[in-house]
Amino acid sequence: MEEIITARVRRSNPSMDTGSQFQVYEVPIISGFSVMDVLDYIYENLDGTLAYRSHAACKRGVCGKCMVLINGKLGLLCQTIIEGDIALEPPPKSVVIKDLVWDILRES
Amino acid sequence: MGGGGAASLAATHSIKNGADTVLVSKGGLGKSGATVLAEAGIQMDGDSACKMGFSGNSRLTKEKLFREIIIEGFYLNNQRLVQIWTEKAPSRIAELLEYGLKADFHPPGNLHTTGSELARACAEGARMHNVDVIEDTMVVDILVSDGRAVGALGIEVVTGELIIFKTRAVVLATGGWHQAYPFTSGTKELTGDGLAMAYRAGTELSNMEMVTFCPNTILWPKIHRGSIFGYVASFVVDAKMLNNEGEDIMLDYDPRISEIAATTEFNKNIWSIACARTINAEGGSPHGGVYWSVKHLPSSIFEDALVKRFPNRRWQGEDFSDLIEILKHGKPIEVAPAAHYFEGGIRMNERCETQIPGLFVAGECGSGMFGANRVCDATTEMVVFGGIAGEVAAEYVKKSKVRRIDKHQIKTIEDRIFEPLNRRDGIKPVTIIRRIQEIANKHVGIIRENNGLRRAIEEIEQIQIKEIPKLFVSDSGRFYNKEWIESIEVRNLIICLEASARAALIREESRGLHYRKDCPEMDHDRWLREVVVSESSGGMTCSTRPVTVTKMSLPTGTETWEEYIIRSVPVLKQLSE
Repeated sequence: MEEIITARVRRSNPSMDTGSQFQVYEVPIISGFSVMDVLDYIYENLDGTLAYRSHAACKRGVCGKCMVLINGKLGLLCQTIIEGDIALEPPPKSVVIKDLVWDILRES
Repeated sequence: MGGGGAASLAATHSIKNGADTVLVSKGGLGKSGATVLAEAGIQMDGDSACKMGFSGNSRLTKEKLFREIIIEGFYLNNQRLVQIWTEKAPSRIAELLEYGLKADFHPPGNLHTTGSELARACAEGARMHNVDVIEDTMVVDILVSDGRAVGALGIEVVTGELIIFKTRAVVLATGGWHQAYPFTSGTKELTGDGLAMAYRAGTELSNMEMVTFCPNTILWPKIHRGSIFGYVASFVVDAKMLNNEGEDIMLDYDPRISEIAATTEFNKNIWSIACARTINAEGGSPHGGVYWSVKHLPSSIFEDALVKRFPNRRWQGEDFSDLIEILKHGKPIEVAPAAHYFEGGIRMNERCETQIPGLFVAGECGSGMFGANRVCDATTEMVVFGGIAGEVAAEYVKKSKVRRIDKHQIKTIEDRIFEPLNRRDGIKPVTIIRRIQEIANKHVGIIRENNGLRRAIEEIEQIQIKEIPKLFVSDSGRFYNKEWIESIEVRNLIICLEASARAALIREESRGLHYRKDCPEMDHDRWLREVVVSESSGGMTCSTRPVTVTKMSLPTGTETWEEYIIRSVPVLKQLSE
């Protein structure tokens, strides 16, 4: 079963100093997709500039590197199943590197 | 270089032997590489296990384990490496226990734990010995001056800054090239970086045609895609793999072969071929696999067994309760063979030396230890050869001096990696990666044949000539630019796949994991040789060399793959008694 959901992603690029804003993407999903699958879809098909931690992703909930705020709650991108529209942001107080990539070792 | 156990052990042993050491990992140390997702057992001979105080099986001596590994490796193993593996395994396992490894012992000589615990213990060793660790940094190429490895150039993934490492020795422990396949049980960063770097630096790759697939890896439900749940569960539950008609895919086989698949280390090999035949014949399940089913068992039996194996219905970071629910409703799970382990890699000797002085190799990115079929545990390979690489590199460093870096080489590498960043239009890396995966899956998968392999090589050559020079990335900034990282990875993946396809085409026989539909016989007289791939005048060339033999003489004549397996089982049984 395919349906279209809306993914709102807080985007920023501190190196460009342009502040942050939500960008909205419409994504066709199949039931059982994880949030990581949604971002992979956007990255591959809609917007290759989108940054989220995936260069060394385990996708099995082991490495813990893909943690962000999913609809206001902290969760792993790879282990959270999509249940409708989503809003994604870096965790509060985190030092953001770009979009959903934040510095795990530092706090602002 | 590397984020798993081999890199951690190499760094630890290098610093313990007096060398200033820096460990560079593409992901997080102990959180990336193949180790974290391992099943994870680690094995030594039963005799040594008894001497360490475990209740092992003392009749399984080093000598017997040596013979087992070679029979199961279809005699393509480098026997010097196997000998070192059996000799050093007990002391390395003892070392892991010193680093606090939590594991349960199972006879004859096996420790069972999780991949993340194993990776943690290995990384703990490096931390205890104060190894300098640089994480989230992808090494791009090895720097070579006067024919010696003198350092490396890397990219700090988060900031996009370049780092030049001026070193006296380099140890590669970067794992396999899983991402060349569309379906894999490996982590995202396993893109054959070490193999491709070593190849570009001028070393040979060998046994590249040998790839292990894990047959019952989850394809669907999507959230578990790539999980080896089905494989792990198969040890505690007598599951069946079914085709679209609901028939057992092993039914067409000699019952002896099905029995062997269920009880020996030939399991991945036999099941993967059976799955591939079924999927090729009927197109597979809705997502392209076969069905993993326990419907023939009472739910109390399999549920108890699964919950015992996966306490709290969890395993590592995954929640398996949805899978157990599906099975309890009498429904199957879709599984398929996933690219899992790479027997081939950088040619090395028993001291982890390569053909380039100062360049060493350990773990899955090396080659020869497991011949044509990996058995026992790759984790033992990683700790044994990780340790040796560190020691030998440290020894080498003492005798060598810091050498001048070749500025011209740095300029060449920079030009190559910046090209896609500066181009405004062209082909995105992910488009080429998908093409590579399609070719790998279609022609360099479980079942191969002459025409398909030729086709694969032609297509790879076309990509090299027409597409790689057009690589471009959407964002020209360097901060966490994944497309930029992928533009580098894609060049590494294509080298690995080309080497594998060429080696598979040359080897006109079927041996272990290399199954040729057009040459079903094993030809011991002609093919107890390693296929070696190297770069010459801009192209890739193949040659062969004899297998390294120490004390176990090689078989002669020809036989089918099934005949070999059937006649080997009684010998293996005798060895394990």
